Amino acid sequence: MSTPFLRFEDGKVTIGSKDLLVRSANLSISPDLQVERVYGKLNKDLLGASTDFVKFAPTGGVRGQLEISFLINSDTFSEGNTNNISRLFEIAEGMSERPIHTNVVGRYAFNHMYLRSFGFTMSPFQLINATAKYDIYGSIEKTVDKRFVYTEKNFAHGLKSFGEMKASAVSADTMAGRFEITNLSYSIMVDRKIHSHIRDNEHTSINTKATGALPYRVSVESIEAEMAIEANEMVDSLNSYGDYQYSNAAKGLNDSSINAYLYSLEGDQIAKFSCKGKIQSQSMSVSEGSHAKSNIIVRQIIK
Amino acid sequence: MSYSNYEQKIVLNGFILSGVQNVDGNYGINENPVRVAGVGFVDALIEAPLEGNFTISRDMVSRDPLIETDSLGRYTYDEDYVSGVILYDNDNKGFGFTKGRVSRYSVSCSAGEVPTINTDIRVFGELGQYVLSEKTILINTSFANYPFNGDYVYFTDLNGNVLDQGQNLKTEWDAGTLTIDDDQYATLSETSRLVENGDVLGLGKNAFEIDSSYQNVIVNDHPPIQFPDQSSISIDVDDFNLDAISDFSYSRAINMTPIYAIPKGTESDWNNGSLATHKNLEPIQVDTQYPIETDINFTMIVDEYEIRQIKDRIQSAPKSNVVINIRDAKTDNFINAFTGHNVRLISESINASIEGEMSISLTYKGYDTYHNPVT
Repeated sequence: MSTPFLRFEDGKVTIGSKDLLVRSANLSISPDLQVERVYGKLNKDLLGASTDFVKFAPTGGVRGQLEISFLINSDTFSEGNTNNISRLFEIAEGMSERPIHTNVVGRYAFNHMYLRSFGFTMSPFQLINATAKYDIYGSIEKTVDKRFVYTEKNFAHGLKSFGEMKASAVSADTMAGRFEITNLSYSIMVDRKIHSHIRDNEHTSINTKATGALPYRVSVESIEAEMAIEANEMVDSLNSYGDYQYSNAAKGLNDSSINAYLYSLEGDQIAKFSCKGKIQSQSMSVSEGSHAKSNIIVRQIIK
Repeated sequence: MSYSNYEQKIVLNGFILSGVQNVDGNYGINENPVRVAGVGFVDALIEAPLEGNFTISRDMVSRDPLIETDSLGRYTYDEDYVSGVILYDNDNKGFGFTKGRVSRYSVSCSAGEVPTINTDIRVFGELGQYVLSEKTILINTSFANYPFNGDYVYFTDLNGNVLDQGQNLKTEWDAGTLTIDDDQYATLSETSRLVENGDVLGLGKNAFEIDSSYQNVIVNDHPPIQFPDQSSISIDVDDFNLDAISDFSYSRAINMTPIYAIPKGTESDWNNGSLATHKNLEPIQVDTQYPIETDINFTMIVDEYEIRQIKDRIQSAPKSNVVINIRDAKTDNFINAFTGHNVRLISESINASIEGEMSISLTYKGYDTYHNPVT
C-alpha cells in the first residue's frame, strides 16, 4: 500500500527509460512569472496615483531542473563500448540536441529534458559518485511510484580506478619527481540556448495541457570540460599560455591532460574520461594539522 | 590443532621480544552501506583502507630493542615504520605486518613489580599470513588432477572462469615445472575446475601449496636479559628532591595521519585491459602529528615534600626535566631510561587513608616536537 510520503526505496529515478542507481535527486519545476503593477486611482494623501497589483503574467513556459547524484555501474554507459557514454550523459562535440523523454522521479513523470552537466569525483577507497544536471521544459505528471530490480551490481570504485596527469605531454612523475593524486574530479558542462518560433505557441490548443508552450529547439552553444586534481605537487614553469614550459621555447608545446580510467570494484573497465587543454589554474594550500595540497585544473574547450 | 602459551614468538624489527605477557592483533575494513532510490539497500562496499592494530604487553626484562634514538636524541619509532610477526607452529606460520607505526608507548611500575611496557602499533597495508616470510608457491603434488589426463591446462580467474590465454600449460604442469608468482596466484579462484567434458583443467589455488619460511625474520641479537627491581629504579626531577616513590607511569601518545592516493596508471594500462601499475593500497605517507604528548605520573610517600601553592605555580609555570632510570638489580648496569624534557607539573593530588601512608601524586606533561625542541 502506498504511503502518503514517498519512501526512498519506492521512488525510482528513470531517465530516458533507463533506471539509474540514484543516491539523491532534486527535481524543481516553476513557472516564469512577472508581477504586473499599474498606476491606479488618485491617492489624495500622496497627491498622485498609487500603484496597484494587477496579476502575475507568465513570461515563459514552465521550466525546471533535475539534479541527480548517482552511482556509475558497469551498465550505466553504452554496452559493448567502455569508452562511449550513452546519450543520457552524452556531452561531446556533435552531440544530439534531441530532448530526453520518459523520465520519472518518484511519483512524477516528465519529458523534454536536456543534459546540462555531468561529472564525478574519484577518491581513494571511495565509491565513485557521479552527478548530472538537466534542464526540463514543460510540466510534470503524476504517476505511480515504482521500484526496480537491477541486474548488474558492479560499481565504479576508487579502489581500482586510476588517474594520470601529463603537463604539456610530460608525465607528471617526470615533471615532479613523484606525483600523487589524492582526489580527482571531472565535470563537463554544456551551455544551451532556447529557440522559440514566432507563432508556434500561439494556438490556443497549447493551453489545454499544463505543459503549455515548449521551445522549438534547445541548441548547444558551447561545451567545456574541466578536470581538477588534488595532488602533492604543482606544475612548475607554468607559462602564460597555460603550458608547462620545460624548455626555452614557449611555442609548440603540447596541451596538458588529465585522464581518469574508471574500473569497477571487480576490476572491470567501465569508462575513460579525458580532459586535454590548458592548465587553467593551480594553487597550493597548507594548514595546521595537515599537509600541503595542490589543486590543478585543466580545462578543455570542446565546442 | 591449538597452540599453547609457550609456542609463540613475537618478533619486532628483527628482534624476538622477551617478557611478552600478552599480544592482541586485529585488522578491519570499513564498509559503507549503499542505498539507491527505488531499491533501498544495494550492498555494503569498502570505503576505507585496511588497517590493523597490535597491542603488546611485556615485562621489562632487558633493554627495550624498540627504543632507538637518532643523532638528535629523538625516538626513531616516532617517524619510522616497524615490522613484526607473531610466529607459531614451530615458526612455520605467522601473522605479520610490514608497515606498522607505534601509536602509544607506555611504561608503568609499582613497588614490588617488574616494570611493564605496553606498545600499541597501528598497521597499514600488508597484514596477515605469509607477510615477512619467504614464500614459495609449489605445485600441490597430492592434487587429484596432477598430472592431468586431459589435453589442456589453463589458469582460472577470481570468478572461476577458465582463462584460455593461448598458452597450454599442460606440459609444464605434468612435468612439475610450472611456476607461478604471488600476483598470478592472487588472481586464481579458490578451487580448480574441469570444463569441456573434463578435457580442460582450470587451475585454482588448491592446485598449489605454499611453502613459507620465517627463518630470516629474526635478524638481530636480543639484548641480554636483565631484571630491575624497586631498588634499581630511580626518578630524578630537576627542581626538588623526591621522597620514596611507590609507583610511576610514563607514556607517549603518537597521533598520525596516513595519506592515501588514488591508484596511478597510464593509458597503456587501460589499453591492455590491466589495472593500475601502482595500486596505492598502502598509504604513500604517514605523517606524525606533532607535538607528541608525554605524560609522566608518579606517587610519593610524603616525607619532605609539600604541595606547592597553586597561585605560585600558575604564575611561574616552571618546567623540569624528569628522568626515570631503570637498572639491573643484580649488576646495576643500565637497562632503560625515559626522559621527559621540559615537562610541566600539571597536577598534584594528595591521598590519606586509614589503610596506608599519606601519598602525593604528581603528573607532568611534556611535548616533543619535530623541529625546535620546547624550552
